Amino acid sequence: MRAALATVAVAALGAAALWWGTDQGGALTSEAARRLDIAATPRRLPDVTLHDQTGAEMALSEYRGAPLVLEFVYATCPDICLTLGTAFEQLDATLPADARLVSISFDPNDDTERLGWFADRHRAAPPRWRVAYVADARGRDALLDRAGVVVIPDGLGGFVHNAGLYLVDADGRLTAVFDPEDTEGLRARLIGNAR
Amino acid sequence: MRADPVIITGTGLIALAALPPASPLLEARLPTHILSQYPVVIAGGAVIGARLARDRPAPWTAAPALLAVILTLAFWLLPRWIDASLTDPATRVAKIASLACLAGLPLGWGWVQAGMVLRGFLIANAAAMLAVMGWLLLAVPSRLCSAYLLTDQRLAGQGLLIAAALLVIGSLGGAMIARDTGMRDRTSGHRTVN
Repeated sequence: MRAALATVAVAALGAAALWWGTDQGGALTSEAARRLDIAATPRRLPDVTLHDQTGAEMALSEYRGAPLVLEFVYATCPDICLTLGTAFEQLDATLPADARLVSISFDPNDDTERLGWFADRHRAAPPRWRVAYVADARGRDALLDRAGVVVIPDGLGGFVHNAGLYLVDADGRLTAVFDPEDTEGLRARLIGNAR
Repeated sequence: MRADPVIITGTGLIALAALPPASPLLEARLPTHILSQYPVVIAGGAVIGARLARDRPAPWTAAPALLAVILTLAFWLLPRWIDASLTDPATRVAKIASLACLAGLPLGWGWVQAGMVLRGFLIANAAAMLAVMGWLLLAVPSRLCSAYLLTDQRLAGQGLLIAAALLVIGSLGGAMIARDTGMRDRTSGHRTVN
């Protein structure tokens, strides 16, 4: 009897821990947990100075007032950033005219010239679509940290990172993260937010 | 109270795997993280648990203790919490503490208290969980842990499958040896089951 009661108690505690630890079974990975958390409590992003592909400077906060979509890339990326670039091309073609796109590099070695490669490949042009780096390392780290972007070296001189499309509302709050393939979902949400 | 060498050994094992210089190396790669750090911390706890259980027979505690082992291990094999233990210091401490106290300690304690049926149940459960987790790490096309590369995920998946296989083979071998010696034990009056 004691054994049965104690076993049931442990089972209940364990089940509760697993239930809590997966957000009611919805988030087995940190990526899923991050997206749930951002959707539930939108995050204000730190203000940083962006240097775009034309050499111009601009503060992230200057984008307030209109919807903004961010993605995080690096100029010499061979795979996932191409998918992200293509996703932005689609958004460029389909989003309302006031919406803005910024591809932000997390590679400290990226400069105006290297960002130009990425911009040219995807025909990105300001003011609609800026490809930018953040010169201030602390600001860059704070931005990545706040957005939940995890970047690790791939051992071949490049990086592996959790890819996504980041929707920032007109108040400058990060409200949702979408898969790179889910441009349609992002567009629907952006238009829904604006209404 | 005089320091018990077994308890010192167990604590030493936990400290070895959980503290620098070994911990950053073990945690740098997924396979070494879950297939070296976890087992050593659990083993450290288990050594202490078995020592504590030695002169304190309490068979009724065996089932809840072994269930705690399974549930604690399941929690820390969730990719989300593997990631979190790398970025959040408090979560790292919670990981080591719970692997030692809620998995290792009850493993040693419960194993000593348990009869054959419960031990078999634990092994079957642990092997199934490791195999499913290993299969998952091999089958999922994307990265499950944001902090680790896909190649590491595959390696860890293979490692978990091997661990599950070793557990099954080892316990089968153990069961066969036990069956041979069990006959003799029974005639000489030794307890083999409880």
